[in-house]
Amino acid sequence: MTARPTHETLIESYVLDVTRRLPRRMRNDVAFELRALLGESVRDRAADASRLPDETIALAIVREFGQPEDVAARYHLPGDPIIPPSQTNGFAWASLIGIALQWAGSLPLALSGQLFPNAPESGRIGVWWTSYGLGAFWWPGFLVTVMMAAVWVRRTWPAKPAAWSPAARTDSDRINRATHLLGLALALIGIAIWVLVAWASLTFDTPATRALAFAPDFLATRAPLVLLLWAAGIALLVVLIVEGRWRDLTRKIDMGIKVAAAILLTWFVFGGRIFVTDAADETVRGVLALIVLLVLGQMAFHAWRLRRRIRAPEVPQA
Amino acid sequence: MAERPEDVGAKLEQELRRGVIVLAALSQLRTQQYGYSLRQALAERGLVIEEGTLYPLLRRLEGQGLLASEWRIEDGPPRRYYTLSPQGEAMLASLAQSWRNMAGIVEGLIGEGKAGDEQPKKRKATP
Repeated sequence: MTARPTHETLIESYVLDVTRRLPRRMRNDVAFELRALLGESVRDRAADASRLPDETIALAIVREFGQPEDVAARYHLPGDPIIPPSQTNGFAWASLIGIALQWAGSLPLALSGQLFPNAPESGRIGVWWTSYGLGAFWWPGFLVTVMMAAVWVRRTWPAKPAAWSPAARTDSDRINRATHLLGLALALIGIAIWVLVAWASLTFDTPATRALAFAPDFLATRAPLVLLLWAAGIALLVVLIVEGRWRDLTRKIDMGIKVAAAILLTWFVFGGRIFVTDAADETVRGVLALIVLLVLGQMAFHAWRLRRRIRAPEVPQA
Repeated sequence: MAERPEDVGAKLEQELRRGVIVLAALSQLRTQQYGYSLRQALAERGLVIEEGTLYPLLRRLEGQGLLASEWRIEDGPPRRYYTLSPQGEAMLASLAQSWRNMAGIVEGLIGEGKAGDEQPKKRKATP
């Protein structure tokens, strides 16, 4: 049996490298066609140079043809990518934030020994990495699966492209009076409950009031400040409901109240007992810590929404 | 880091050609051609298209229903011959019309630019 010329082997190897990246149903057909076409190119180029086809010519031709993965990509019809280019950044951020949150939640618990009490201190990070650390990577996989499902839905039930329309509420200064009235009512009910609990614990001596008795130090030093905060918050809500929209001044006052609330509540959490009993004290301080986080998150969100979306470019002065 | 001007130029030219290649290929497939012969036919008329671009394009156009193909043996190994499908013929007519319109408009725009360039020269010549 005669050995095949090396240039033919080279072309065949290249063609197989391209076609293994194609859908199975078209692989053989494309491979047969491509091998013949490249072979013809090699023969023509060799004839132009008045020499016999060889490996050097074949290599030059397949290199000009392109990287196998690029060539294979050109054979595909433009399709519906799982992650559209416009969503690539969003996907990357969602993946990174999801992983970071899981690590932030599990790593401190692992290092403090709460997650793996039986693991030696020096080995906790290793145990964490092989469990929660690597396990956090389920999140990007989950996102990709959701996006694949979205592609399937789009292909199965293609949506009619709708004309762009503005958001329902383009005036971000206008407030919803009904929700603000509801907020005012809830705030008044919350204040009433706090005042009622304080009054009951000072007036009656029952197991229930003893369990919810405020610490004398708290009532004497920190509690009165909350009255100022409540008064300012209620006044702001009333002004907003009456005016029906935000103004620069009311936004600044709102931000000031939020900052004051975050500072005051942080002081409540770390400044000593609030309740006399351990159970009530720990529970309420935990809840207050959560409220501080929510207030900070809300401030960050408001700051983000208030930033100018379209900024004027820096124009050099003439 | 900014791209080198020659790289930018090459990319822009590639984009310009990309839009033309489909029309050029369709125009030559009124008669049956196989990949290599089509490339030669286009090259003879001054449009050199890389094989790595042209051969996959033929498959894609066939996948879109614009070309029909069949394996045939004519003085050589079996070759896949492509020709316009009825849908491809309609598409060719439509694209050719669009091309003529666009070429006329762009030619006019380029011409305006040239006329604008010449004006300052004339002014300079005036004492």
